[in-house]
Amino acid sequence: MDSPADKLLAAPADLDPFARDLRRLDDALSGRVSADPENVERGLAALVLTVIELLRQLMERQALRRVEAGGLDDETIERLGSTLMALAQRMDELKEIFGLDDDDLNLDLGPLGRLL
Amino acid sequence: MIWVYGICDRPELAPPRRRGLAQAPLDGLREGELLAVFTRHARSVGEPAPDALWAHERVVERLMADRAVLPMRFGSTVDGEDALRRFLLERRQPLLAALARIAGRVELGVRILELHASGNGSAPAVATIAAGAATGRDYLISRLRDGKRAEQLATTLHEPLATLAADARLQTARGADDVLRGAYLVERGVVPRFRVTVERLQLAHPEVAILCTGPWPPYTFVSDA
Repeated sequence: MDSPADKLLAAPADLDPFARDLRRLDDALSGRVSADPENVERGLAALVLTVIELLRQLMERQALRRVEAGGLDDETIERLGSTLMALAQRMDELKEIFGLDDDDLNLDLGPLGRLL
Repeated sequence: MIWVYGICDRPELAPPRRRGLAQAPLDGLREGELLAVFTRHARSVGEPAPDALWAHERVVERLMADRAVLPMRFGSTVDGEDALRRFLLERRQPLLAALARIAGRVELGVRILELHASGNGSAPAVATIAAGAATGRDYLISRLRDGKRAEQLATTLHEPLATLAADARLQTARGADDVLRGAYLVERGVVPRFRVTVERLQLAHPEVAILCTGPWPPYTFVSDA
């Protein structure tokens, strides 16, 4: 074994999608937060949106479990669904406004994995 | 300080004449049926830079060439030889059991990502909204269907690989496009078949990208030793 490339047993021609993990690894290894003034606002927005996204996903999962279990009447399902759909759309708009993508909306919890 | 690379069987076999981290020569400590391979250092050498990671990895792989090895994770250190001997004595049974389990086997890593037609490789968190969910009910049902489909896809891809493996560990998905993250414990001789199976799955499922790496020391399968 002379180089890391020897470790690719089978790989697609395009490795870019997997490279996003390297960025995360880099962040984890350097363990530093970029605090230059221009980035602070974006960083704060990312943090707040991460928390909101976490809550949104939890609510959605809970709703899906209840729908699957049955026992909800049509009106409740419709109300839950349209609320969650509106939340999801609003979330996408906010991400667009702050120029964030899904990878930005996450926290690395070390051994616990990623938050979202 | 002592930096440990691995715990091996065949203790009568001296450690290879090689150098480990910071060019320190490899040394071995024998205790019963076990041999721990380590280097001595006056100060911390374990900055997790790529060079150091590969130096650690090379030592473990060299050891694997002629014996069964429980690979220690990068950064495994003890105060001195006494502590190392104590560890070998206290953990003798689980260490021997783990060695028996991984002997002749290697770890293969598999990562599978779902590709999206949009081309940027990243799935929006709520990919299905635009797909014409007119009512709240439609939205929930399409989300349910998405979840089921992803689960099914993961199972379809995992099963043929698991059949070839003595053991497998799956990690939970970490993103919307994460289909599968797995480690497979495979007999050395089965590695080519595993690779062919991965290639076949890739052909059959152009909607995902499959990355298979290895062979690695079985890091994932020694955690309970």
